[in-house]
Amino acid sequence: MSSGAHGTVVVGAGHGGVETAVELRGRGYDRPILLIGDDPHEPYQRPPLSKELKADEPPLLPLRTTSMLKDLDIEVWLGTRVGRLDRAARTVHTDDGRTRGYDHAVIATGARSRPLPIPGIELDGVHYLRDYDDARAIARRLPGCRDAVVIGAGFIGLEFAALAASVGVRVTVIEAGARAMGRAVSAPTSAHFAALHRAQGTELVFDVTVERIVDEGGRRAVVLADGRVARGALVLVGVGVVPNDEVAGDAGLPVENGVLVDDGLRTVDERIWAVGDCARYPSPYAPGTVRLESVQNATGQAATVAAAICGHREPYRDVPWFWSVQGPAKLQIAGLRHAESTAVVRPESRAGRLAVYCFRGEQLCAIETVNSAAEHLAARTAIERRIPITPADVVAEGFVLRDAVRTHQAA
Amino acid sequence: MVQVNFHTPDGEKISIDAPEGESVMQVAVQNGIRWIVGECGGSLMCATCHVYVDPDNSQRLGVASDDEDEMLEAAASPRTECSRLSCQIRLGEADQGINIHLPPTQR
Ligand SMILES: Cc1cc2nc3c(=O)[nH]c(=O)nc-3n(C[C@H](O)[C@H](O)[C@H](O)COP(=O)(O)OP(=O)(O)OC[C@H]3O[C@@H](n4cnc5c(N)ncnc54)[C@H](O)[C@@H]3O)c2cc1C
Ligand code: FES
Repeated sequence: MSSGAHGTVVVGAGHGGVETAVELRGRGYDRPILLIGDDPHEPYQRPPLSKELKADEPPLLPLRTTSMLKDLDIEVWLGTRVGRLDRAARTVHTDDGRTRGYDHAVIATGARSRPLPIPGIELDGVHYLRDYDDARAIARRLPGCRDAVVIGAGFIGLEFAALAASVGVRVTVIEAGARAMGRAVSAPTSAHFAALHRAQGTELVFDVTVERIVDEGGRRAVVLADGRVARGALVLVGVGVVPNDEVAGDAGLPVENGVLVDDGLRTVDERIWAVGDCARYPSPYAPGTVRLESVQNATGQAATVAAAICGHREPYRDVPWFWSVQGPAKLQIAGLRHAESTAVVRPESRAGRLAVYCFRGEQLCAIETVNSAAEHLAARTAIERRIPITPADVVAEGFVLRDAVRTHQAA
Repeated sequence: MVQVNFHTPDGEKISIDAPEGESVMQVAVQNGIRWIVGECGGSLMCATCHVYVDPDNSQRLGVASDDEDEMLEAAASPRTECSRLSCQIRLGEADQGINIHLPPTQR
């Protein structure tokens, strides 16, 4: 390791940033580590923000305790935004005027809610959901709220819809595409979840865009392109995210809807790395490059980068996986689906369960399961080891993925 | 506060005082007990929070839900009759001084 006092500066104190810092220490890195994040709260877990409510407050579940970070000698600057990275001088500059040199810099800036540019978006009662303050504003408005409108049937919108419906709120979901979570899951999985939300009393409206939001004296009226109107005391906008790649881009690093990194997550600058929602990388599980938004992706990449900074550089090849909880349904996805992949539903007799196998040609590329955690765990192994499973296997009588995986591993 | 004693695979004992209501997984992750990963944050989705509860703490044995039972079958380290997923153990008064043995691997 190089000498001097600089060490590693991590920009962004979310899932990826915190894990990078902790992993570095776990691997015995003994140089200074500085973690800088613009969120004022102690670093916390994001998934619960759209899944749980505790007495009008969202849960603030810390990723690690402050005292643990202190014990590990990780310096933390919260509520502090990095405005500029100077690659020639190898310094990081914060908006409040502080400067720190680095031997390695890790960009873990995540993503922000994609803004919806329509009239009325700035009205009181119209919310996005990305961070703790967003979740708190929503949680404070929810009690006494009889109806809500969700714009966008993606994961966040639908998780919120399920949460709101569970406390008696009448929810209308407006989606521009033809089905629920259309970019992320196969058609059978979309249909399963659409039915589930409808059974909770939620109205789902597809194939229509939102034109504007109007204040109707305390209630919001969401006006659709076809003239229909959906009304609610609260409007949640969940139309995807935009990667925070400006710090990298302004420093002259290549960005393309995400910070471009190689298969070991390094940018073209050998001292700068990127992990998590902001990083675009070549994955062994998909053609071209991908930018994934999941906790597993952020923490897995953090481990790879921490190892590389400690001198063990290896490609990142963890199988991508993701989960979502909507009412009684726990969805898990292993692998990466493609728009052109074909979906094969495994016959299932137990209520509330679903397993969809996605194939690109004959190659199994993703498995989506509902309330079937053991099958999901087997799915990760099957995809990682490229265990040959065909569409015919999936529909054959008595097919159990875990057994197929075991048989193959024993052979 | 409830005292939780973690026993690492190499025989070290780490004691932590944790607030009632927290899960053993949370306590471990937040305090850097690295043998517990807790990848899914306690949603019963990952089985990377597998632990062996000491037989003396029998209040925590034989009470796993069907979902937890299914997940335990797929855990990375061998399952025994003392296996639990630590995200499902919410600490209460009765757990004072509970002994948790950590498995060698979670992935
Ligand atoms: C409500 C919600 C629910 C989710 N549920 C799930 C789920 O169930 N399962 C799952 O796998 N994933 C889920 N996700 C996605 C998951 O949380 C993200 O993929 C993960 O947080 C990515 O980690 P990250 O470190 O890349 O980014 P983040 O966790 O977003 O952290 C990046 C941090 O960097 C900060 N930052 C940005 N720019 C700067 C700057 N210039 N200076 C300083 N700080 C900066 C940001 O403010 C942020 O705090 C959910 C996300 C949300 C919002
Ligand atoms: S933390 Fe994932 S199952 Fe316990």
